Amino acid sequence: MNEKEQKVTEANAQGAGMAPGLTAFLGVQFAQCLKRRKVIVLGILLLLPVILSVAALVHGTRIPWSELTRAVGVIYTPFLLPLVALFYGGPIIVEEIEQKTYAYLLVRPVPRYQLFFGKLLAASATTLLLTLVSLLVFIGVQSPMIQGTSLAGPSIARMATALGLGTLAYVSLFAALASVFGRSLLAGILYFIIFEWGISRLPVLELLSIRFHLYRILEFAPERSMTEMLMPASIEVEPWISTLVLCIASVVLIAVGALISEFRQYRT
Amino acid sequence: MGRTRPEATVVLDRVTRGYGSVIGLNDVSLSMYPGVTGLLGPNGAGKSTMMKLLTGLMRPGQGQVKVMGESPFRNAALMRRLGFCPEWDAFYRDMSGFEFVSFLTRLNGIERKQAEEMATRALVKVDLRQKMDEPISTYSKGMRQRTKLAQAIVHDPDVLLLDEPLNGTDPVGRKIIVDLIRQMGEEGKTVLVSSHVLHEVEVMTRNIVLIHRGKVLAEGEIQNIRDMIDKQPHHIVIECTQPRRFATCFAPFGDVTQISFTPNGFVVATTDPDACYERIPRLALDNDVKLRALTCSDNDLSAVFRYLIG
Repeated sequence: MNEKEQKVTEANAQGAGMAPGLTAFLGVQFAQCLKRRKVIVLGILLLLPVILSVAALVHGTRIPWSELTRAVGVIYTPFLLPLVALFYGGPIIVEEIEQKTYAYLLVRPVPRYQLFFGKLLAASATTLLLTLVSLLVFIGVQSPMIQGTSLAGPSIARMATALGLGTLAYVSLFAALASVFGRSLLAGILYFIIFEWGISRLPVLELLSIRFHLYRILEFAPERSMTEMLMPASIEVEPWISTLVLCIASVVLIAVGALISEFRQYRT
Repeated sequence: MGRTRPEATVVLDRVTRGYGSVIGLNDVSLSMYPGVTGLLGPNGAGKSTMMKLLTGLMRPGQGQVKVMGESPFRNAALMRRLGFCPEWDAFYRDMSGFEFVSFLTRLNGIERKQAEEMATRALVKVDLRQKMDEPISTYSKGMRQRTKLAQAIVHDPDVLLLDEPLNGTDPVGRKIIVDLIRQMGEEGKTVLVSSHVLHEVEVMTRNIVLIHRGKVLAEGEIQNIRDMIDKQPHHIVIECTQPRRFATCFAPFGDVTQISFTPNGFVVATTDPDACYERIPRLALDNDVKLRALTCSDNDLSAVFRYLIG
């Protein structure tokens, strides 16, 4: 047995895990996320605020910083971010099962929960990258007009933090839902419509909404509809508490998704 | 002193696995040993279900599955010793054969450089060196099959499960795969090859498992299976001069159950083939009949399979 073969034998004698292959796995998963056709559709959607921003610039309209950052609360947090997360978080496992490539991963000495984490990380990175690039370009385009205006509102760092936490929470949620229900998109869309846009607008129940906590982190107060005016005002929660809530929720959701993936059977 | 048989590396003990109301495997008990075993059965027989149970993609509804003494379901460590070539033609988008195999090799916990060397060696073994840097999407079906085989053997597994590996392969590719499978069997690996084409398996091994509708119909050396089915009518094809007259000579014997004519002779169905084989030359001599050919239509796996599934 030569030295190289000896090393393979030694590697084979090790326990399960893919630490040396982690970068390769993440790299491949990330590349696969970016190569999917949905990138084009989502890219067009993410380009819309940028186009608005360019139009305002061309028109010579000066958008105050506070209004610019308000767009994050109106466009990105409640709509674009969950949408991108839904299309990347939901199908992390389902898509690969449908493409029949998942079996190649399952017959490697990698625990299933590690596969779930790796895929979740790649989906989160893709979601954050696409959303953040859109946001930065959206704001960047307006930068020549911002000078001299009031900088009241959340900083870019705070917005990026909110997007990061929102990404993790939404991707984990949609991945966990897909693990439970098998149908990734349907479960996510139903959750989004029924919960995020329906039930979570009710007092107290809003505490269970990711969007609510993202608003708290951004210290953003959305305008209330006439119906909402009749209901008690939103509960005031400190931004750090909302940050903590999203972190804990993400961990719980990831654990649920990983646990279900661990015991799931794959008919392929 | 007789040779002791090695310990079974793959064991299914009263395994039942269904999909809703459809039964994939039904109370299957089976032991496999180092060497090549052919898993034969028509489409939908339960071959792929067995493969999925052995690779841990699914777990049995009832019974036990053991590979190298361990249950494969959720057993990541066992996967270091197992290689699997699935029947489905699926790959990662835009990857070359080399990228595909080296990526999967790295998931075995092997460093990049070493994984690339191992991937190259595996791809050379399946004769894909020339094309290994080209995208898999440009490969022929046979080349894709060989790529799947390369990822299955790259880490030198002790147990190799190959689901329809010869599907869609050209004659050259077929020879490469068959030779490789034989070689791995000779090296003491446990190789299970599934197929629904009988002659494919016949060239790889004499050790077969026949499966149909989720049940194992027969297992073991082809000869053992033949012995078992000798209780069934055995067909002997006789080509000779004066076939009609010669055929009447067989009618009085109790073991002859049927006589049917072919363009060049006739076929005798007998429940006692040994006696019948002994009788044929004697009767031919007595009746001045010249025998042109004497063949048994049961000597290939097709016949065995026909017998057992009815």
